[in-house]
Amino acid sequence: MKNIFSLTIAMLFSFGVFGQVDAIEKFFTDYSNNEEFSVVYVSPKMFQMVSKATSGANDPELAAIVKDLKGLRILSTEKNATKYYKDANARLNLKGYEELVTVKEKNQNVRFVTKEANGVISELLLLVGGADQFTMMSFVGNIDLDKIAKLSKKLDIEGAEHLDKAAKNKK
Amino acid sequence: MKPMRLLSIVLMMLVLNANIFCQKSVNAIVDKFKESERYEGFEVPGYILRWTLRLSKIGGKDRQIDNIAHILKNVKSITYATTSYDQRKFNNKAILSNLIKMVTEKDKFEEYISYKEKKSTLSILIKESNDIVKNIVLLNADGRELSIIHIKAKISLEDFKNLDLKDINKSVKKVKIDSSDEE
Repeated sequence: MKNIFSLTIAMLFSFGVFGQVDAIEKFFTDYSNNEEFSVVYVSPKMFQMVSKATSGANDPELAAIVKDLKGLRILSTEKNATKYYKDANARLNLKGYEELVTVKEKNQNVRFVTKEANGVISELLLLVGGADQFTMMSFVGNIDLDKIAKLSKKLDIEGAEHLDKAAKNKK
Repeated sequence: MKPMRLLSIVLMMLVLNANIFCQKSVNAIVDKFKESERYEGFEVPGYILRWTLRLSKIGGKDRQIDNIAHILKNVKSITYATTSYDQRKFNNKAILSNLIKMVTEKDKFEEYISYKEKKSTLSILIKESNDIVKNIVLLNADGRELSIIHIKAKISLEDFKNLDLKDINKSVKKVKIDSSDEE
């Protein structure tokens, strides 16, 4: 009886987690065909390949960073940015996530949320909303914030400065 | 003919055939483009690339170019095909989605990166086995234009080890800035 009870709770919990993953996935899918948006998707295979290609090379740091990453999605637009930021906040139920950094400035809001399991961050979601820019960035994998910040700097990804803030805040 | 020699020829033919069939969908796309009125394209065999590399003496001074040249040495051929369809009659984005589906389902390519901006969509599909990249396909829809680049190669992941991503990123940004200057 106890086992059935635990199993039911575990199932309900996993449905909740999958439901949330679906909400983020659905948000990306809904807007990926919208011409107002720029969309980037980097598959787990790509990260695997980069990891293998860089391991033991002259950039072992990069190999270590990429090894644990399983996917990256970026959705961004400069049109109706405030509307999309509000929509994202309303549609994404971030209950299972930990708020890492929230920045509210005159023209821009930045939210960093992470999902943790057993002390390991499995997803990092960045939401940037302002008068002229909306960005949603999702990293999936075993995430080390320091490493992600370094990777973003290495690749010169826009928004890397926010990641730096998040990494410092986590400490 | 000696039986051993005959056997090796048969085996070689089988391997070659397998290589051709594994890109059936890519060949079908190129053929479809060729049938259209606005087709443009070319195919560069690997040996011409290697000659060009030797003649232009690329490398030596710039380490990064030298590394790229090293990778290009393992390219067997590059095929490029482009065409354009009337957007009032055809939905290029839907066509591109179908092409991606065709390549992934029929020939087991995997989508590694996709990028979409305004009316342009780019998808990079790769087929690799045992850490050897054998086929790279780039499919692009840009407004009314559809294009495909197919790179047949035998590139080991080891060959990428000397590439510096930051340098590449800088070069890409420079190319973007240069091309926007031209506009």
